Amino acid sequence: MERLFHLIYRYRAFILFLFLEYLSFVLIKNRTIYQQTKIVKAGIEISGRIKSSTSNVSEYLNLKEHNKELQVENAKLRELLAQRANSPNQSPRGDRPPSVLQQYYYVPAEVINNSTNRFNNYLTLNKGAIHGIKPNMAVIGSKGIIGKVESVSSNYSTVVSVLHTGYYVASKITPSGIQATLKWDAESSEKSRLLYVPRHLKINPGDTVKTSGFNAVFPPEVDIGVISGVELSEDATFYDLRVKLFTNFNSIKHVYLVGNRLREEKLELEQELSNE
Amino acid sequence: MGRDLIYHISAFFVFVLLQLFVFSQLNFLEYGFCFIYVGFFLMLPFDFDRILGLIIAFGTGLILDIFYQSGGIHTAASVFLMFIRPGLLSLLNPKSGFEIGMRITVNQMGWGWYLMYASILIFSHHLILYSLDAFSFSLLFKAMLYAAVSAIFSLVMIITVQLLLFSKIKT
Repeated sequence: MERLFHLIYRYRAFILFLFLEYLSFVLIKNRTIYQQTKIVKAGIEISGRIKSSTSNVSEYLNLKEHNKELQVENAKLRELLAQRANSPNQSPRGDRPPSVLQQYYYVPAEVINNSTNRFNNYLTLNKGAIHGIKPNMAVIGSKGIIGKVESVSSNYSTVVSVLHTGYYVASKITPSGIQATLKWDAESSEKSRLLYVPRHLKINPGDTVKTSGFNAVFPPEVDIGVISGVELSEDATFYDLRVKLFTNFNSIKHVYLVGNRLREEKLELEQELSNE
Repeated sequence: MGRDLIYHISAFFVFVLLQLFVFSQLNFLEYGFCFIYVGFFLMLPFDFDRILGLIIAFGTGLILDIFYQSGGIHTAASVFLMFIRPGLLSLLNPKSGFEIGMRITVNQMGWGWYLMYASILIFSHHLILYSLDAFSFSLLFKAMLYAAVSAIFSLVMIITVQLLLFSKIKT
């Protein structure tokens, strides 16, 4: 017994090293769970304050560009509005509840921190729990998708960027309607990949990729990018597709958080199904 | 001893606060990122208690991880750096041996010795950090590239801060 204690004492640094490394691996593996803890939320709040004070300076430098982007988006929305007003076959609204009529609601926010050069990128937004932000809300920009909310402190929220090697987005290719999954491969901040498109389908480069809305985070029909590269090797089951993203992740400033009023209902229903 | 303690505590605050306020969003050559807080570990005394060192590395890494919302990658990399440091120090033992109260800085150890010491530790720290961030073998080569570019950036910045702030204080 005494010998054992001697041995432990002799290798105490090594044992402590192994123990601490084990703890860090637990933190890495359970990242999403521990992101909801109080201490991490306090960390988000503090780092949010620091980052928003430093991002104030860079904001003025890009003001012109951001204004232009917003104007382009406004024009696009006005066009859509005009189209809607002119369309003769408007569906009767009847007495459907507001949660169905306006399933998605939008909250504007500003990006105060953003990374594109890591393997798993995150953003910080200046809206938090007191503005009604919840985890798993979608984040979109004026040109296309950006990511989804991961954790929320009272004034800030952190967002998993589409540029994250562990994040999958349910998407579809238009106009053909082929289902696919978008996942980043850490190659470049402008491009991503489409997975699981079987080889018997016909894919045209230049087709637009949009969200399918199947995973209850993004609304359907949100722009993602265009197919920029199609490859199919001899023995592959799936295509090797590259997507040029519409969003320029290096210069995003103004974004919208999108909440889904029917999300809970959809998840509950699906949960019931999988329990049976 | 009291003076030494103040010296190292101030080193901790200087390097960690620089990381959080100045280098939290600065890029270098697209891939590079400066992890200047590592400079604090490099400056700890050569005979620093191993157990205490590991615990301090764990705590510092955790602060960074909470700030960057990065799980435990800074923690794992910092603990690893602190674990290999004593071994590296005895391996690189200068000809005259270490003197009591000697500080591990460019001025006291010389450029050649310090560059060797710092680059090995910084690169291994960054390599662990980026490999854990990538968490897949297919990205390992890319992780090495990121680690190498970032290590150069961090090394230059650490030496700059050290020469500016920590070289005039005499023991």
